[in-house]
Amino acid sequence: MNRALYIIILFLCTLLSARELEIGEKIPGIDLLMKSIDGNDLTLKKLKKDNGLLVIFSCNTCPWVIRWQDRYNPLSELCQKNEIGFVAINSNARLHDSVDSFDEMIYHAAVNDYKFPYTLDKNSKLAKLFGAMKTPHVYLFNKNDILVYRGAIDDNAKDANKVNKKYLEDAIISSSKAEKIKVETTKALGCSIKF
Amino acid sequence: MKNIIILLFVFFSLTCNKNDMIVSVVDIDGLYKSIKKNNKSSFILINIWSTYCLPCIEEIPYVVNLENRYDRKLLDVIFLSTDWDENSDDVNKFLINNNVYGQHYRKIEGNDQEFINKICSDWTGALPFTGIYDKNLKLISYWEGKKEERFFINKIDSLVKIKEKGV
Repeated sequence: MNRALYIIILFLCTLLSARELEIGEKIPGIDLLMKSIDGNDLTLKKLKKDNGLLVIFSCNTCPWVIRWQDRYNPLSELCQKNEIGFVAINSNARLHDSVDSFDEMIYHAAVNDYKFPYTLDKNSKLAKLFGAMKTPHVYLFNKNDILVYRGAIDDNAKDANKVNKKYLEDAIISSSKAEKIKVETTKALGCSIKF
Repeated sequence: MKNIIILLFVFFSLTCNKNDMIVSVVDIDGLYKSIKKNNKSSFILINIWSTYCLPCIEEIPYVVNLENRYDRKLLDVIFLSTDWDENSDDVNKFLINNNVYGQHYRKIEGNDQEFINKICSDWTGALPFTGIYDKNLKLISYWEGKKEERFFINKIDSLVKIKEKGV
């Protein structure tokens, strides 16, 4: 009996520590202030548009971000066209005084020609509220602030020309038309967020 | 007699170092098949890492220490790299430099989602990921993200205690 109880507690602890925002849940931390690289203080409420909001947990250094980020600008344009807000958030608090500092974010965005808001999530507060664990990792909310897609950008980080499944692009288009999203959650390998 | 001892010494010197670390490139089914075939331990710890991943690199010495702490009959430690093909040399070099021996693996590129879900449906895909399996390769404990050495030891010791209490 004790053994069974111990195993259950062990599993519950593991599961609870990995609690992530589920499809159907509302945007958490919508009024939390974040400093954007353009100098503005932004919140998710300010960033969302008529048809919703796309949040990408990102950073300056993760090799998966580096490979995937050539798709950031086209996706932000697609969001803009479909009246969906777009933001990349750096939650690597442990590295905010080194490679993921605010100055490094400004530099990284300039070098990579980011055409969208890139914000610093102090003390990883927002990442914790989302239950986000990795970069890059995306959360798409519809016009009612409800999570409708969570996961990967597509199925090939290494090469945009070899992508077979454009999960996020499909989700953006469906969500903006208020249609049901066929694939609501996906997974990909990535860097853990440094809390 | 003296010559025989010298020959034996030379033989063991040649066989105990360079040949002791192998990295096979596998898909998830190949990984499990290979582990099942070779396993002689009560528990198997698989650490999934990458040379790209700073927390993984910080954590690996702790995992290597587990190999010295626990008898091989009790625990087998396996490293599974998720590096891309272009970094295969880096994987080998890193493991050798960290005194890793034995059979280890690198994931075949692609099909990441299937790989993640077959390892553990609760895993988000963040690296590093560690799973502890029983001898039948049933996943009995897991976590993602970097942990300290004491965390690994406590987990393993608690699983060993459960086993000893009569499973």
